[in-house]
Amino acid sequence: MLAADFPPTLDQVVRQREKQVLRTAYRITGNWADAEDVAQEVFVRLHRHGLDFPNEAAMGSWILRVTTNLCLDRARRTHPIALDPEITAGGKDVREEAILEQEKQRLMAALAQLPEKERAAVVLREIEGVDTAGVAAALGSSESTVRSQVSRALGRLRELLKEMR
Amino acid sequence: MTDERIRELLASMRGDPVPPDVLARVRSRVEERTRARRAPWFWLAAATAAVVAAVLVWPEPRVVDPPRVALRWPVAPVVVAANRPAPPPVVAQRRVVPGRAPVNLIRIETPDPEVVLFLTGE
Repeated sequence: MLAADFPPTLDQVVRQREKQVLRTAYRITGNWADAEDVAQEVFVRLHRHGLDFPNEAAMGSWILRVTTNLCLDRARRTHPIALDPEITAGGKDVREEAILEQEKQRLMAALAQLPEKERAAVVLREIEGVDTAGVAAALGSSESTVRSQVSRALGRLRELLKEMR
Repeated sequence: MTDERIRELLASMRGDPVPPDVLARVRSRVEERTRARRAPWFWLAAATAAVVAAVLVWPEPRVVDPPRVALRWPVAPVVVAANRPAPPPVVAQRRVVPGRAPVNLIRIETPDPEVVLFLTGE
């Protein structure tokens, strides 16, 4: 989005951010129904808050923080989380895709067993590619805490995946 | 599975598609909920505008003076001075009929009260 287009309309923000919000919510909550509820709540809250952020990064950070908090609230209420079957991008070799799909399923199942905050840290840092400072802002913790959460989470995932073999 | 492979797999999930029906539902619900929230704002703004317009257009109220109440003191009684001179007696004016000479009338009373003599002369 160009600086001249800022602040955008709510509709523009929804179109621009909906996929990231939904994917993040889906990875943390484990199912699309909860992800849907979280996503619509995020955008309704954004509308209530107003779109007059100083810049796009500030708005993105706000959206990420609200998304994460809503997901963590839901994840705390429903533990262990219920996983929906994975949806994968097409266009690859069928066999290769089947293997990748299987690995992803196992990884998602292992991810669902992590504590909420560690899961959220891994989703934001490793799946969505948010930098450590951004993850720390979204989770309301320090960067060093995020780094240790991600490191600990990767170790636990490795162990869980080993147990699943 | 190594940490590197786990990281690769996690990163590959970034491009995973979102089901189109999920996207459509989120869009429509957000629109529905934000439109519903917009309505009170609209009506509040409209009501405010109407009040402002009414205040601007409404004629200034006239200040009506309260009715004046005159203090009435009781009228002082008329005091008639004791030594006030008596009004002059009203003298009857003789009417003079125009065109006729005045007639002199002399009344003569006799010892008999039944008999009175009148003498006239011009």
